[in-house]
Amino acid sequence: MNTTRRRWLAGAAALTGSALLPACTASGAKSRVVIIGGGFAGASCARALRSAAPEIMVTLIEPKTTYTACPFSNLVLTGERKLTEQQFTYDALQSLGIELIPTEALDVDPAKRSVRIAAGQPIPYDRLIMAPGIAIDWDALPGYNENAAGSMPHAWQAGPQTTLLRDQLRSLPDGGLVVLAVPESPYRCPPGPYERASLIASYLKRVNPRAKILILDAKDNFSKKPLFLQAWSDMYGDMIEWQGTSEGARVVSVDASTRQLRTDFETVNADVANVIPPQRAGLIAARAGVADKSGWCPIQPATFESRLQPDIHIIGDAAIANAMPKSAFAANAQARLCAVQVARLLRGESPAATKLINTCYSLISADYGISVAGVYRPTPDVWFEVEGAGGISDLDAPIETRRLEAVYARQWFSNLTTQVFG
Amino acid sequence: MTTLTWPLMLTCTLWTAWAAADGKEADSAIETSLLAGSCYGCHAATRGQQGVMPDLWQLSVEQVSARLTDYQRGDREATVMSRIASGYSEREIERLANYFGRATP
Repeated sequence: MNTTRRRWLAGAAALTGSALLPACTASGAKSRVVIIGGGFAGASCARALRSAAPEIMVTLIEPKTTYTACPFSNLVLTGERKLTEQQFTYDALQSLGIELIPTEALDVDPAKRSVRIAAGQPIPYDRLIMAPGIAIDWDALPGYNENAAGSMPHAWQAGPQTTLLRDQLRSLPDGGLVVLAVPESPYRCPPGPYERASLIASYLKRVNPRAKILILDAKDNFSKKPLFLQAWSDMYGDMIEWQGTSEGARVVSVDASTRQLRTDFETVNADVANVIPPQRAGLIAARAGVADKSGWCPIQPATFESRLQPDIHIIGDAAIANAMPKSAFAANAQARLCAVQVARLLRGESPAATKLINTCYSLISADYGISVAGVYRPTPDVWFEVEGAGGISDLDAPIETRRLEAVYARQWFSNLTTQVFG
Repeated sequence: MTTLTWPLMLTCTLWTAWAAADGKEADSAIETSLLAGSCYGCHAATRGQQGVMPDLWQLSVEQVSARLTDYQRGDREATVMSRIASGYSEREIERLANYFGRATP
């Protein structure tokens, strides 16, 4: 169905009015929204939907009993935070009346509007919201597979990979070399690799001051680059070296048995190698037919409805939200909006329009923070960044501002996790 | 009369739906609450929560409006808020001010 026809239908639906089309299925039963994935996007959406539309039955399919958050997991590497402090349960969601199905979603049948699960009968839905996050693209980097990740951790999905990288850093030889391989965009958390390098440096400066960190980047520009470069030089001297793709730094293959990384230009022997590989939408997106050739999911901006399958919405890292980055902040914002839109569509109302915000904080050290922000508005085709707004922290800001942004970063994480899981 | 009103209503409703879908500034209550919802990425979504970010629910209509306008103009010291406030129109700021300032405790 093309956009114009969809919009005409939305208008026609609005005409008939909510009184004539309550959120009920043809059989008169309650509408049911199924959400796949209990990360920041999925859990936030379940919660927002519960509060926006108590008349809708909300089912969350998530196999893990605890969620391990990626934001702030770089502080697990430095030993400041324990991994358990990154973990959250679904108890609060269940107590709000959200049905939790603790199994894996295997496949989606968009024609029958049902989700096949690992344990149990298929789950029918009136609308499906998919928040599958990312999958590591194991075919993208020669030499890097699930086995290789056991010695060259990606730590890009928080959990055992995070503690593995932490433990490797702890046993780094005196004056050893830590290499971070960073992929091309898009990937989860654009400034994340650079925050990680910063916080690893803050840790090594204390315990292993002769150590070096080399960032091999598959691009030349990255989020908050001037701020990172400035802070690295001010705080860590020459401990962190960044090389972009113009210098031949793109990693083209790795050898896990020797911890070697081969770039366009040279072969690097690492003592610790943190390989952040290319990514795509969580695997079920491709099975459901909502991912395109890029590996990510095209959506209608205003509603996050799939451009490829009917009655399915995609939010969070898996969605192609254009100018909006793949961040927990954006995932939460998209989730709250999508919940309202889905409730409206099920009531026969037209979608509402709004702007969304993103703010990504990065820590350079425990008490030095920087940020990038953006305000976005949906056009019929894309999420577009509002001109004249957003941008990065002031390069000339006083140290007090950096300290404040670190405080705000921590408060943001605390607010977000309380809002979504608390 | 009826025969004349219906097509008119149809046109109006369709026009509204189209305008909304095109991302133009909309005026309904739901859209104001969605606009306010963006603030909860950092600020508390309910009143009375502790934290270092200002509690928007404790501010008056005039305070929300003045602060956002000052942030836009660079007249108020900010970390991130000047960058965010600059993305909103005068009308949107007015709606946010009324939303938070007039909320009943």
